[in-house]
Amino acid sequence: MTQKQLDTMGLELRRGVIALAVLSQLRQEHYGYSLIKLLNEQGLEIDQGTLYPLLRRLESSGLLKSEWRVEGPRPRRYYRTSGDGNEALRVLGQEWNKLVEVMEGLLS
Amino acid sequence: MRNQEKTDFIERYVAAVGRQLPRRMRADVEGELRSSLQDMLEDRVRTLDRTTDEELAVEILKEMDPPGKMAARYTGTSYLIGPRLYPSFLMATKILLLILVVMHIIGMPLTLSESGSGDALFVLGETLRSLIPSILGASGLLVMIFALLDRVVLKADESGEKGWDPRKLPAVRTPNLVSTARTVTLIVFAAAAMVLINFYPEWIGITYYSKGGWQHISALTSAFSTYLLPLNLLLGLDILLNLVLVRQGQWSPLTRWGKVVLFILGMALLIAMISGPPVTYLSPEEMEPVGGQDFDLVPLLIIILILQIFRFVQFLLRHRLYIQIPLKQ
Repeated sequence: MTQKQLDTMGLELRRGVIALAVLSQLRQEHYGYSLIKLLNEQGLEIDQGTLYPLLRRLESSGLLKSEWRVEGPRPRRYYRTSGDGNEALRVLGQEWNKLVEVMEGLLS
Repeated sequence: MRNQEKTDFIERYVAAVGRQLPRRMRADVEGELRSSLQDMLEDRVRTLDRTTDEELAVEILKEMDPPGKMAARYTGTSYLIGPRLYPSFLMATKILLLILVVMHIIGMPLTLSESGSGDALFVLGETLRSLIPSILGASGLLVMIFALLDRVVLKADESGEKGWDPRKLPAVRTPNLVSTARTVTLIVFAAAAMVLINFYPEWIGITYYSKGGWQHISALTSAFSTYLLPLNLLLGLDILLNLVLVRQGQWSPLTRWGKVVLFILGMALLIAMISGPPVTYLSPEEMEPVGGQDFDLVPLLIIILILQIFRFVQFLLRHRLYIQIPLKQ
């Protein structure tokens, strides 16, 4: 197996959890760049090309709400989870915990 | 480097992405991208103790996806003809190309007899010159038909997937299985035939090169109009049956017997067209520019009838639609 194949598999693995990670951090309001920095600081690297389209998709599904505001030098779009988003986070969080348990059992 | 130029690179990138986005989301995405890139720039200046120069702007932009890829992340992949119909599209294109090439080759002797045998290369060149626009036009029409069909078939697939039943899957080897590629190709050609006989009947005839340009003589007689209604009915029913087959994916007793009825009606219509008043005829006077012999497409109709009979027998055998006579008691 080549490094490229390994990288692709790693990317696929992370892709599935990015939406959950984003929802978890948007219980508090953030704009795009602050969210990228926050996730990167916590060890989940995500680029703008992945995050912004994902934010749009989550918003059009009704899981996020957003508004443009000028706080600081320029207008920014602030996101946070909606009621449906919080519920989705709760359900997906439970799924995640089960998955972690199962995977730990499989990998041990 | 002036601040204006630094911002200009970011603006160029934002505009390059925006140009490739649908209008409804463009302004919003552009605003967010611009704001985020400026945040990045400020952040680098602060954390890396850099100045806001051209180099830094370029560095940041190089970390981003190229504009086309970035825009595609927002819009997703779009296609005109999906994987389900692509094999059928290829098959129909090959058949269409073959028909066009054969039609042009058939016209070549007529063109040669008009222009003189010494001009063979010239005739070949002129044939190719007329073949290329025909191929481009017909291919464009084919793409449009398939793009439309793709939406219909895809919708049918999506509604079928909701309540699909594994017990309805056809056996691995069975005459019941419908070839989607073949059936869709038949739909496309039946639709094209309907367009031809209803809107462009004058195209049926002879085309040849003479007097510095392509000449065309329409060969249909007034008798053809009496067959227009049954021809339309047959082609319409054939399209309908084939759409049902594509949707169901396999033959059922109803569609099988429906096909038998259509075969019989089609052959009866062909026999009527062959034995009745001629539907195509060009008198020796009309054929004067290409040799003066009269022209009739009856031999072609007879060939089509023989092929239909052959296909009908093949269909009956494949679907075992015949009475088995016991040889031994």
